Amino acid sequence: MSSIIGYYSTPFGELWDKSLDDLFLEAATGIMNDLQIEMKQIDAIFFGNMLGGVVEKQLLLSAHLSELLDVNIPIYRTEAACASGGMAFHSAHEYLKSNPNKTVLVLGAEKMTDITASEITEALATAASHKEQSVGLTFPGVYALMAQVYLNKYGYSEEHLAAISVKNHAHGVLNDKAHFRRYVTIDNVLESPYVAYPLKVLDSSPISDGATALVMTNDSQMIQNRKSVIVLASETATDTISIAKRKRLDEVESTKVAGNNAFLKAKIKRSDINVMEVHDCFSIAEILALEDLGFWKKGQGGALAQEMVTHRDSGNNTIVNTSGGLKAAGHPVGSTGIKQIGEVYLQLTRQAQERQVKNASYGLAHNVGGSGGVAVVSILGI
Amino acid sequence: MGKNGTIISWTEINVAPPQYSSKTPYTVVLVKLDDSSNIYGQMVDFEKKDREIGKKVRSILRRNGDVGPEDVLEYTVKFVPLL
Repeated sequence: MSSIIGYYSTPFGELWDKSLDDLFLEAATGIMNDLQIEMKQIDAIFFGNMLGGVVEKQLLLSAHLSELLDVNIPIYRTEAACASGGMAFHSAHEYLKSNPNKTVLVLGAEKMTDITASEITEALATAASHKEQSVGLTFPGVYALMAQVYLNKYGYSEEHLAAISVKNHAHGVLNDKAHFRRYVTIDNVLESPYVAYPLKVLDSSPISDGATALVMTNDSQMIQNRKSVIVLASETATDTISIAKRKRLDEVESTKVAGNNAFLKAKIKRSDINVMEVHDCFSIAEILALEDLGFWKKGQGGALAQEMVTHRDSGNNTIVNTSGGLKAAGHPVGSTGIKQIGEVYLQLTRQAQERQVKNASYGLAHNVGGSGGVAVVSILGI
Repeated sequence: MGKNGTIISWTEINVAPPQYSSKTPYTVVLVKLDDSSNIYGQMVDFEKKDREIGKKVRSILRRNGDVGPEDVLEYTVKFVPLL
């Protein structure tokens, strides 16, 4: 069994004075200082980053980390678009399963704000298929196609989508690291400009800089006297790069497969989950996630979203995206998957401050790459 | 060319990559061709009522986005309403 013994996050937002290297360094040194751990106690580093090669024109980021942290240990990069962070966590977990008495640092960082909106749109579109890119679809466009099918098939409107953004912004107000810490109303969302119809600016997660870090271990000495959670399961699954090749446009099969496998592994029920961080890159994505993870019936999501059943003030059992989700907390691509694990870790160890959900014992993190090409679902417990 | 199909889904793009920035807003459709394959294309020369899930379209050849002054012009498959 491996455990998470610490989490650190930089603020997420437009961090004009920080480069990608600065962000990695801040997260790594931040967590090491908080935990009073030295680099020599770390056996390996796993990190997620999507666009270092594009925005910073830098690959071989493992060597950057070697230089920044003055180490020669193994450093592994995972790239899975928006699931890069989740895959870094998942890979670290796999490593610990086969390497006893090890402690690893898991990092995620993304620098996104040093290029124009058009350029970042083009960069993010590399997570879509060749055809999707060459026809000018853009990444919001891909999710917009899914949203259209969903709204049309189940008889919902943009108002149902807007409820997700309203909830996540309300949650984000309580997150001191969030990119946006302000409330939005349904009308604010509906009046925001269209990015790719029917998805509007306020249906869409922002372009953010940021970095996050976790320390994971299977060394019982490292866990002693620390606030820790156990990783009960971390499963990953894949699906087609092009949504044109999917069986259905109103579901994300990689989420279903990874989610089902995670619950089988963890041996707990959906109703046991108290807190969840799901991948709301666009409002529609959170609705699909709750259905595909098996919490809501297919097609019910629009109505349940409108009723805000997963809001922290709902009085219900499973609260979703206390961090503010991708929408309000921000979405530095490589960092998000680790932030999600980190938020669940804070909740289960009673460190979530004003965001604290009472008696949270089990949590789930759901991280998706692209339009569902990769999904990572992890379940944590105390 | 000249294939017919049905709109599975559509969107209108307002924020585009550099190649298409001067063309916004433009419509992209995902079409199920009558021969059952799914393909993407931009939709042109339509009225809003033609651009809905389930409406029929046919494929044509059109210019594709902007290229540099020295580059070869690109043409690609786009869709118009099947009337």
